[in-house]
Amino acid sequence: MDSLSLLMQGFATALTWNNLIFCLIGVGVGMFIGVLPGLGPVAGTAILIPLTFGLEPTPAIIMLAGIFYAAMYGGTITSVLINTPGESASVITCIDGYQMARQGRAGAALGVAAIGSFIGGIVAILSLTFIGPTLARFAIKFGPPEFLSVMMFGLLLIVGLMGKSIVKGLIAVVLGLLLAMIGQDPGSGASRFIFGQIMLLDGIDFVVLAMGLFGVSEILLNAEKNMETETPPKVKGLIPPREEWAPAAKAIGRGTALGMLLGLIPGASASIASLLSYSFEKRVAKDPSRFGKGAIEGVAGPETANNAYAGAALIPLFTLGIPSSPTVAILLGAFTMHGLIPGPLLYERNPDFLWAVIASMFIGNVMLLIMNLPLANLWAKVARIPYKLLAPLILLICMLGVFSVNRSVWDVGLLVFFGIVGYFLKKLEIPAAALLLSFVLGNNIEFTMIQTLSLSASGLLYLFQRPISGVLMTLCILILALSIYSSIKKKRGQLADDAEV
Amino acid sequence: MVGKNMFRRTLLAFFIVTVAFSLAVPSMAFAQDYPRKPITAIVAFNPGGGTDVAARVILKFAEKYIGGQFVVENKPGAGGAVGFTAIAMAPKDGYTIGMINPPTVLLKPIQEGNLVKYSLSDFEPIANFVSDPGALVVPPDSPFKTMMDVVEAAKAKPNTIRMGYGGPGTSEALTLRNFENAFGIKVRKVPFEGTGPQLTALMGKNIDVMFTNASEIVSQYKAKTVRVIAVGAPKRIPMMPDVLTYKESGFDTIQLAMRGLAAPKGIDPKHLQILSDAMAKVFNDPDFQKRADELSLPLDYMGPAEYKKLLQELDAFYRAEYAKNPW
Repeated sequence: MDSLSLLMQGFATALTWNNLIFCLIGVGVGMFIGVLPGLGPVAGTAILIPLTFGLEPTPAIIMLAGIFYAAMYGGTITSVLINTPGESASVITCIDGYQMARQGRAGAALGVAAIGSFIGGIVAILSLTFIGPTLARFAIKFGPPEFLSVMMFGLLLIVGLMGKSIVKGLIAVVLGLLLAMIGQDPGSGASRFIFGQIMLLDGIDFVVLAMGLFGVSEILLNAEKNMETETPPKVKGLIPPREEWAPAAKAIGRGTALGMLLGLIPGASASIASLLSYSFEKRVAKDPSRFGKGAIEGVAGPETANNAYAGAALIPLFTLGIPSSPTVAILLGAFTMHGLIPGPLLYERNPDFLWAVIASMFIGNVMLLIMNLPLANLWAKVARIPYKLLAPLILLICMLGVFSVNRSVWDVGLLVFFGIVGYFLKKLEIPAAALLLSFVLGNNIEFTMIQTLSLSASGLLYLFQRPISGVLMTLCILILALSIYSSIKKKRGQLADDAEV
Repeated sequence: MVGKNMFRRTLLAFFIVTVAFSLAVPSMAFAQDYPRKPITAIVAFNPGGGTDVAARVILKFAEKYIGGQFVVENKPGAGGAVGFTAIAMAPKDGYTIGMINPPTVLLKPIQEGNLVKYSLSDFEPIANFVSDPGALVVPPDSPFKTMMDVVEAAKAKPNTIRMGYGGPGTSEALTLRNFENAFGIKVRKVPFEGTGPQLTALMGKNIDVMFTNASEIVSQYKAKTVRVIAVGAPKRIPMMPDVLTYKESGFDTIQLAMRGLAAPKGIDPKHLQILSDAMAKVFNDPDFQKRADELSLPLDYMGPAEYKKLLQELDAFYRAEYAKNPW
């Protein structure tokens, strides 16, 4: 039987009342988890797994997969409204999304994010259905050297996200890399910069850092102005003005492609997908100076990319049995618990289960779109709540979210600390987003570099001996060389142009 | 008059019934003096992980035998050290126990020195639940059919075989070191965080061999997307009956990742007895055995005395190895 008729059978199973209800519960919970800063899809899925013990495998996996892709929808909301990313893939959305909300365009930001997410999600599932297995076999060739070069490329792209000054941007990047060093050294196991604190042995949690630098510091900053942040006079509708349609649609298209590509590669993450998409949008834009001031592409691209990522990340799991991200690893655990073996055998042994889950993802994405469009209007009104009422709520949500990750009061203390750090960073105009992203990349760069070095007989030259990493590294060097050359040639060169965020 | 009498009688009857109940109910509840309230079980890792799942399943079955409730509390951090410390420092009233993971629980105080505030003597072992043997895994089309094939290849070309493992400081790292020493070979050691990325690298041919635990690759083993060439159990395991042990392959080592239950030292011996009896009963429960099989839990029950002795032996072994040379 070909994929299409199998998919139709899957729809027949997925459209039974029982499965529909579990799909609805899954996407509902996922949305909620995405909205709550700190509580990410990893923790959310893990907490719900024990509840699925009594269920049949099909509804159980339909529900858990729903949480995974729905969290990407929800993450946007807090980024746009209160400048606090709901989960790591939405950090970058804060930059332009929050600006849009300040201008009373929160509805348009959320609307375009929901539509983009829907398109990205659906295209990714379509490819899971039809070309998944072929693609996955290619993507698996990505090894530590390729990851290292992707991360290096990402680090270089952060340059494009820096604030007004290159020097301050570099300070942010270096601070991020330094913070990433805290904890156990992946190469030797030695503990670094932990100051005798066992709680620092695992390093600093991304969630704690993100909530502190964005959420808490924003409150501190506003407290200075007696909490009298000007609220937008009125919230305009969901539909962006006509002239924004074409750029938004193009950004959605590019975001879909980029997110899918990264989802296929085991080990990449949704936050890298959204980061790359944002930088890419800024590069291709006719007027890059609009970015950081509420450019619609800066929301549409990354938000589409992280949803396309979430759909595509399931391809390596279904076809090869490989968990490509921590959330997918938990999903893999759920498969095993229900006696299912992910991988090529799934297509042979449990086709009814597999196709029902795939069909449920189409249904789940439609549900999310229906939920999100009217809700976007409702959410957008949050931007009009007086800040003095909103602030304690944000603080509470940040603290609860951080506490929920490791159930540790230490982390809450660390959150407050980074809130204060974030306050001074903002005062000094050091870009927090660049710090946070280099922190994420820093962890991975170090680890993949150690892996690369232990794999290779020729040191870092190995990076150039493999085709994919070779091309990427050459690109990095070219970009770097060109930027340096042009900035030497004319004082306000390419790098300085980039800095005009 | 009659009506009033009737009312009085009804009231009396009601009163008697109420008193009877109020006397009977507590005496029923107090018939057992432990546990009288839910017992907290600390898990030093995140929800959804291997230890968490094992704990939740086993303790759920144990509720029936102990006549009380268990509440799982996850306290992750510092590779388990945060949770292990919490168990060691918990009140000794029998209402806080927790999962310990040898050898990790033993390695932390040895490797981290003053940073870790507990030692083996702070625990009172209750039962071991599972012993997950180490496994040597290759891609399905690999030329290596046995462990000796790997050794031969490493002898022929030193420092070329790329071997994925859990990273420095883990018990896998020690096994790998002893593997190299036993045969006088050298391999390229590539660290990985977790089985997932390691599996990707193996299937993408970025590494040649990987060290992991049997239960973590059992589904890939069944799907034949990988081949397991040796396991670190003392004897062959039912999960993979055709796979030789390390010892059968010529490498006399046992490598097990264990998960068991312990209380803080100094709990009432009567409570310890009640807890360990309940756990023993769980392992004889056919429903539980069926569930464990579905979950691919490599069960390995040990009672308090046996478990304690083994932990002390392991502790001495790791201390001696660490004194020779940290890994």
